[in-house]
Amino acid sequence: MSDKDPTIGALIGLGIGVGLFFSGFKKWEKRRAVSRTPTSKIRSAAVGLCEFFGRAKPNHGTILSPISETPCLYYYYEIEEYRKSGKSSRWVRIQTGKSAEPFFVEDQTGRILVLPSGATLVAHEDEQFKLHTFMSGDEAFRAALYRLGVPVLGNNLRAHEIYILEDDPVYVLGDVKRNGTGSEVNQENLVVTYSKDSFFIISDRSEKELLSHLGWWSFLKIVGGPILAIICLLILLTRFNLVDI
Amino acid sequence: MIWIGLAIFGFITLGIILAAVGTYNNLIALRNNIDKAFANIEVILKQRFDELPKLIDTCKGYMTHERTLLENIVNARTKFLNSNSTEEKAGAENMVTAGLKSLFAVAENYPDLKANQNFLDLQNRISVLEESIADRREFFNEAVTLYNTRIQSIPEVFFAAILGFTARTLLEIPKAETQDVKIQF
Repeated sequence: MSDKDPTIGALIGLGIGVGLFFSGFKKWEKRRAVSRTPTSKIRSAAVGLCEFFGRAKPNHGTILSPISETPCLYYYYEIEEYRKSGKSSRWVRIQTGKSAEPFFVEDQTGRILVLPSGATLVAHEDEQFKLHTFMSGDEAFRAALYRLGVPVLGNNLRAHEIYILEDDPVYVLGDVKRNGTGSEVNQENLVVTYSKDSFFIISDRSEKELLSHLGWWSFLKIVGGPILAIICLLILLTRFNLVDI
Repeated sequence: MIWIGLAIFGFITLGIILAAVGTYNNLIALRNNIDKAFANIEVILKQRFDELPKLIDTCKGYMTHERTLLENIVNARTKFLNSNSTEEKAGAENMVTAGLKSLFAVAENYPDLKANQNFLDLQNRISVLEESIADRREFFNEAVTLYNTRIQSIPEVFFAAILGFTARTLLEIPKAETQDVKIQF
């Protein structure tokens, strides 16, 4: 097959389109979980899926985000590399990471510990970094890449970093479990954690913003996925002379 | 072009099926949220009821002229424990809450009782539980509101009508409980 043969690209596009369609429904299900769960006051939180909205507070001090070295309570980052293949080129994700350090969510009635491992983070991007080959680039970013073991020479790299700072507004939807023994009334004995049968979302957005964000993304995937799949199918059918345009 | 037509039809059909299943599951989850929210109120009520005999025992030595008030609390507790329906339980719970409110107000007339550490500890513990009951009652009502709103919205209203999802009742606070207790000196 020559470079111009669209078959493989169309097959990949078809798979991605179908995948987007199903992942759109998964996202819609996540949106439904957010919308149907009433917000609990931390003082009276009960075991099971709960939703909280409050301010982020440290458990044992702050941690440093890996790229910008910002003191924060929770972070997520991803590093992408610019790759060329034939005439096409794209950014490929080469490393991601998120913190697992517990932090508190505090509302007017109390505080509850969040164990963030396994959570989906829906948040505004806080930092963006770029490093181009043969350019001086951002030295702090270069140093961060060395620390994270990412080879720098000859690569165009970029990174995104999201973090939750102390006192930032934070939304949490997750499974509340008992942390050891104790009365259920005392929120100090309860933690929000990941459960494979449930949803676990951490966000710096309000519930309304989160619903809007999840709604738009699911809509785009549910509608965009089939459109992409049908276009790719059309390309494949044309390629094998099964249809005339 | 028949393949394209089939693909479009397939996506639309699958989309409708997935949306219908998701809508049904969402209604079930909303209904279960209400049952869970009420069960969570009962957990705290049970803890409060466990404290009542201790409170009555502590008070009856001091509050010899408040026999009726103490008996009313005991009777309301017994009524709650023997109730089966949500409405009966809510009614008995409201009687206990009103009784306790009166009890703590009247206790101001008994300085010896107010100085009793055991009474103060129980009062504090019951106040914390009362706050949790109020929070969970609010949570329950929010769960009911979300459910009632959803079953009256499109497209859920069609599923609700076909599958028998009916509106649920909010836990109302009786008017007497929202009024201040009169303290006689």
